[in-house]
Order: sequence, then structure tokens, then C-alpha cells
Amino acid sequence: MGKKSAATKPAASDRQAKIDAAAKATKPGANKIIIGTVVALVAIIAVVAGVIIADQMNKPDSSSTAAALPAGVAQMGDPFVANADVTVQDGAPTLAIFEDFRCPHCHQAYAVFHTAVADLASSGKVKLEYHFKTVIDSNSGGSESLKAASSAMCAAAAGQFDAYHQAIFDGIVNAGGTQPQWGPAFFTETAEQVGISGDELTAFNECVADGRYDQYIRSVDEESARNGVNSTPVYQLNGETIDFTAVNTPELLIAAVENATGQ
Amino acid sequence: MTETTTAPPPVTTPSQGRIKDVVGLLARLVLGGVLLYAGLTKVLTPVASARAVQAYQIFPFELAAYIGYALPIIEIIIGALLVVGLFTRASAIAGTLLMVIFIAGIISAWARGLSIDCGCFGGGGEIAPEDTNYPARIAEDVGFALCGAWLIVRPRSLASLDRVLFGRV
Repeated sequence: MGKKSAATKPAASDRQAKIDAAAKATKPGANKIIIGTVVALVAIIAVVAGVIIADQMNKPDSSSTAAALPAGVAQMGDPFVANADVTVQDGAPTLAIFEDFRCPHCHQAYAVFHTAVADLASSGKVKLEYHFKTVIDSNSGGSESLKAASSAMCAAAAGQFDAYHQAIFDGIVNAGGTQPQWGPAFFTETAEQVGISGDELTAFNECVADGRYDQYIRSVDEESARNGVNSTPVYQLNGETIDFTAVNTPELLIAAVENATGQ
Repeated sequence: MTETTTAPPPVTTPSQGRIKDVVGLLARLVLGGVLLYAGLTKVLTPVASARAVQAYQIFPFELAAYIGYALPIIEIIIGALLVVGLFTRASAIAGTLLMVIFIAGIISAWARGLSIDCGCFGGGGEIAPEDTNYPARIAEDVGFALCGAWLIVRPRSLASLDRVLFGRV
């Protein structure tokens, strides 16, 4: 660039511009400065606009109906404790599951570990935390991961988190990994299936329609990314990520929990 | 080594110039094409792009998000300019700079023992250690940077907008 600056000096007047144009018409050469300025401006506008749009897309919904915290969650970004009703044994470790409702590997990990996880949680041998992530939404587009996790928090409000979460994951595992038609109709159907009915079902449907826990789920995804968890599934015992290549059976998970107990 | 008695004449014959123009075109298409493709795979999923940059743990979390939002658009712009051959040298400088930054980022992640996907073409984030392929990624990026270096030294190439709009550059 800049080599032809002598030939493309800004014209001093219209007349000069016409002379320049006439001179240029005889040989190839458009005005490099003008084209360069246009390209640079378009580039800057595209980048700035893109960043602003992306930022707005990821910004939490400011409406109050979308900013609720699930019961037992103290602040945005904190995990949902699935066995808060169980007295956790002394020295029991925290088992944190980072999971996306739409992630195939999460369904596979669930198929392997769920029975053990449910036993450990209900017997108070672990404090069971779920960090619902929206990795598939981020990577593939859509908002079904967000909406599914958000609907699970609506089920939690009706006291049916475990059954609801289990119904969805079992359904996918039993269908050989085929995912349901995510959406309010499926969520309602699943809620009914786990025994949410009457006023509770109405409240559940409103909760889903409002996206009441959307902002909470976004905050969990962001907080876990901040802590370096960028993929799913991740199972952590007291903050230590479990290596699935070593721990690949329910028995080994139980052994790992026993190892971490009392530490 | 294999050098014989007669050295080639130092003058550039027209056909040599033509070959170099073709090399320039290929360099533009390779570097521009890969940037364009990389940008297009990520531009509609800005959150994933932000997470991929955050996974490198180089920039502060918030800043990394903005870099992640902007990067695909920058890649598309530079890639498109290179493919059509407009402002070839300036675009090649920018494209090469990007590759150098990517190489530095990957080396940094590798050196710190992070197990992440490079996030080059979508994806990104933490992956199993055996799934990382840092050397291959670095080799690719070095190749792309070399395409850029050629164009910085010799931006003239076949079928470029530079030539159509500004005549011989």
C-alpha cells in the first residue's frame, strides 16, 4: 500500500478531481485510498457490530421473571444441589457433575454411572451438585440445552428434580441415544410422567414459558467456564476431575468416592 | 552438493514471473481460504468462540469473550480480502500476524499442559489429553504463515482485484 500515493493525492477541488478522473480513465487504477478507506470502515463496523450483537445475545435477560434462583442456590453461578434433603455423612466428598442435556457423552456417562450416583447421593455418601452447561447450544446453535436445564429447575421447584432428570436421561439412553423433540410440549409431557399435576403442572408450564431459570443456567455455564470447565461431561470429586479412562465402571466410581471420603 | 558448473542466470524471465504469480494466487487461496473457512465455522456461534478463547486461559475472562466474538469476523474479512486479492500485502500481513498469534497461543497452551481443542474451526474447550494434536496444529499454522510471508514479500499474483483495480502492483 501507499506506493501510488503520488497519483492518488486527495483532489484540491472538484475541477482537480475531474482532471484526475480523466487522467485515470486512460490507464487502469482506481483510487486506492478511497477503496482502502471504504474497506477499512466496513471492516471496523462489521467487527464492532458483531461484537455488540454477540454480547447482547449472551447477556442475561433483564426481566425479573427470568432471573429466579432455584431453591437452595444462594447466588448466580452456584451449582444445584440434588440431594439437599439428605443428611450428608461426615467427611463425605462433593461429587460435582457438569452436564448438558443434549450432550451424547453425558448420556453415555449417565448410563454407566447413574445407579451408583443415585445410591451415593441418597445415602449421603456424597453431596451431589449439578452444574448444567450449555456447550451444545454454544457449539451447534439453538437453545435446547438451556431450555432443558431450565425446565429441570422448574421440576425442582415442584420437588421432582431427580425424577425429571432421570426420566429425560433414561428416555434418551433407552432410545439408543436418540434425543427427544426438545420443547415445552416435551417438558410438559415429562413433568406429567413424573407425577407433576394440577396446580403444580400449571406452575411448571408457566415457569418453562417464562424461562424463569434461564439466567441462572447461563450463570452456571459461565461460572464453570471461568473455572476452566469448558466441556461436558465432567465429574469432579472435591474439585478433582475424575479421569474416565481410569474410572469407567460404577464400582470404580464408588471406590473413588470412598478414597475421597474424610479428606 | 548437487550444484553443477553453470549457475542459472539471475534475470527473471517472463515465464518465471508468471509462475510466481501462480504461486501468489495459490498462497492467497490457501491462507485466505482457511481464514474464511475458520471464520465462517465460528461466526454464528459466538459464545462457543468466546469459550474457546477463554479455554486458553491467556486473557482475562471478559476480555477473552470479546476476542472470541471479534475473531471470526476478523478472519472472514482478512480471508475474503486475500481470496479476491484486494490489498494483498496488507491483508497478508494481517493474516500472517493472526497465524503467528495462533501458533503462540497453541505453544503456550501446550507448554502449560492444558488439554484443549485449538478451537480453530469451531469446537474448542477442554478435551482428553490424548485428543490434543498441538504439533499438527502448529505445523498447519506455520504452513499458512509461510503463504502469508510469500505474499508480504511478493504480493503480485494472478487474478487479483489489486491488478484489476489498480493495475500492476
